[in-house]
Amino acid sequence: MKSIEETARSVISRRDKELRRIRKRNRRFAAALSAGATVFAIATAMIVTGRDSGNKDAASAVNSSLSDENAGTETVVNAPETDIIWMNEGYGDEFQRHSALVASDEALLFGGRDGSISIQIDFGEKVLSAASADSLIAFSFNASKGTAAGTDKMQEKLSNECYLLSGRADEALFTAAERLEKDKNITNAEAMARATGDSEYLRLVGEYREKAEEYERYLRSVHYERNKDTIETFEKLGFTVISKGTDDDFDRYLCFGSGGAVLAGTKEQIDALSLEDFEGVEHITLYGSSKTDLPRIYGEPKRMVHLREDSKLTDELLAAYEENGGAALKVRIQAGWDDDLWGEWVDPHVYAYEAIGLHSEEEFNEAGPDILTSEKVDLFYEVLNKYTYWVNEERFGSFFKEGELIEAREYAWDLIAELTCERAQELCNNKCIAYITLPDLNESEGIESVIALDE
Amino acid sequence: MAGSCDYEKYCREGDDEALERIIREFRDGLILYLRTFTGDIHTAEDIAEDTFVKIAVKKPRYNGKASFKTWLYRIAGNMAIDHLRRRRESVPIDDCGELTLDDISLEESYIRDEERIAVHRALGKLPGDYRQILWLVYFEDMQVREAAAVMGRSVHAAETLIYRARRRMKEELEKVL
Repeated sequence: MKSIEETARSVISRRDKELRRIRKRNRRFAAALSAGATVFAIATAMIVTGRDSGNKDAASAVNSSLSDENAGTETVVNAPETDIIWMNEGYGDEFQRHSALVASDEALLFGGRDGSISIQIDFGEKVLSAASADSLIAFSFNASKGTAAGTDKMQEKLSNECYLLSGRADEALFTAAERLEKDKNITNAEAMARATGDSEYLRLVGEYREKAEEYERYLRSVHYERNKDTIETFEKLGFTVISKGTDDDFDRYLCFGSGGAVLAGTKEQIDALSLEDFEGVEHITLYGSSKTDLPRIYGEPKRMVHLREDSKLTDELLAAYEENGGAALKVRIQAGWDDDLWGEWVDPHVYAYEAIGLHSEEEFNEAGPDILTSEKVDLFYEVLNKYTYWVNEERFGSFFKEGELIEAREYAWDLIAELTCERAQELCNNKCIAYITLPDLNESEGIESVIALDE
Repeated sequence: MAGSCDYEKYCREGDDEALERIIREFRDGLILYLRTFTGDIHTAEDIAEDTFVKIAVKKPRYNGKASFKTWLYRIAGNMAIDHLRRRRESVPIDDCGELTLDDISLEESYIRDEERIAVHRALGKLPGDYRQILWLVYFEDMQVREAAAVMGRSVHAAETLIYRARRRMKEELEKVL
């Protein structure tokens, strides 16, 4: 074993080597970006925002862009020492369905504003953790003023070698698009395209959709092959595999980017699951819903039990199952790493308990009205909401109707699992349901796949 | 004690001495924690070094919500999981591998107390997550809340895990004693 001094020397040496590699890559990337500037020509009213991370030119651009009078200026890209991240920002809720539309030559990022800020942050971390390798561009288009705060928050989450560049749209354009969307009942993408008069935008929308679907087909085939044995194992155990990579509606999303199967079985069958049944599965996340984090979907407060194991089904999983009375057990198994490297997944309840001076669910449950005053209850939910990602039924439902693939893969993934379970439950007359998502491609493989398809 | 101040100093000024202080302060404990994932000390050492390189290069934002140590251990734990996933390996559930001279040397320098070393060795007989939670709580003196954050679990789940791990540990120690 190395001495601590040797470790320190090795760390610094490796760091320097890595930084040299990054600088070299970024110089190459900046040149490529310059050459490919026409790709961004559709962003007619964009300015650069971002944050200082050591590059004075970029920092200067960032600072000057923060004033309103700069809206509408030309795009400035001057951050040769950095990765450059372009955020594609839709507006309001519509972002959820329509904004992830434009792929650059290298990769895609997208974000939103307002309620979707937390999602932006998740995206940023996810993609960044996936992007330890090569240059990453996401496209920014027609953001609103409201985006600035979210953008800034996201930038804070990004590593220092990456910049977030986002645009701020001409307010009139924004309003026009909004009106179009409302009056004509058309999608945000179409509205924006019409408002800008930019046929290129629509073309890219279509192009991306094709690409996404191709990507989906690719992933599905990979996942199904990879998971076939496990699916068959469960079939042998007597489970009904409701979905395993076929073409029905919900399965389409289930399989996109995840691969998986929905299994329906009786309580006895689920009880009979053993560690051996999960051999080879590397990561298990259990959702047992006695309460839930998704009140807008289910209509009443529930709690989502979130447990995970790295390699095996354990008694913890079974205990959680018992805790839920054996009903509607939902098991999600995922080989893919669902935490970002920089992520700190903490049950939002932890923050909420702390905010009111408590430390655990038990304390909360046992607290009388002298402790849980109405002010504290309000504070509890305020904090809980702050750290919880809420989704409303309308948005979620429309997702399925309109089928934005990217969302399926990225942020709605867990929700899809939930909804799919509900569907599966209906199909099985409310027998116990195990929902199992089988080993996933990791994010970087996914990104690389997109790039490969581009080529 | 090294930690968030040194990290901020390193991020802000690129001060290598601050980085070295962090390494000096946390390396050994981190290796022993990572060994609960990998089952062998040398892989754990590699992942610990990778973790330091990662934060030295990427300078991820530390937001102060948890202690620096919690944050660092969480990153390292994630890297260990990622490492195992990439290699399609998992730690044998009942065996943390044979002790090497490096293990013994590190135990003696980091844990010091003989009785606690004996307990540490009994940890090796436990499943991985039991090893991890007990290491964090009993050897790193973390609060359950902190250990939960490191392991990405709810506090409730961590409490349950500790309860089971202690029960299992007791059985293992009874076999030895």
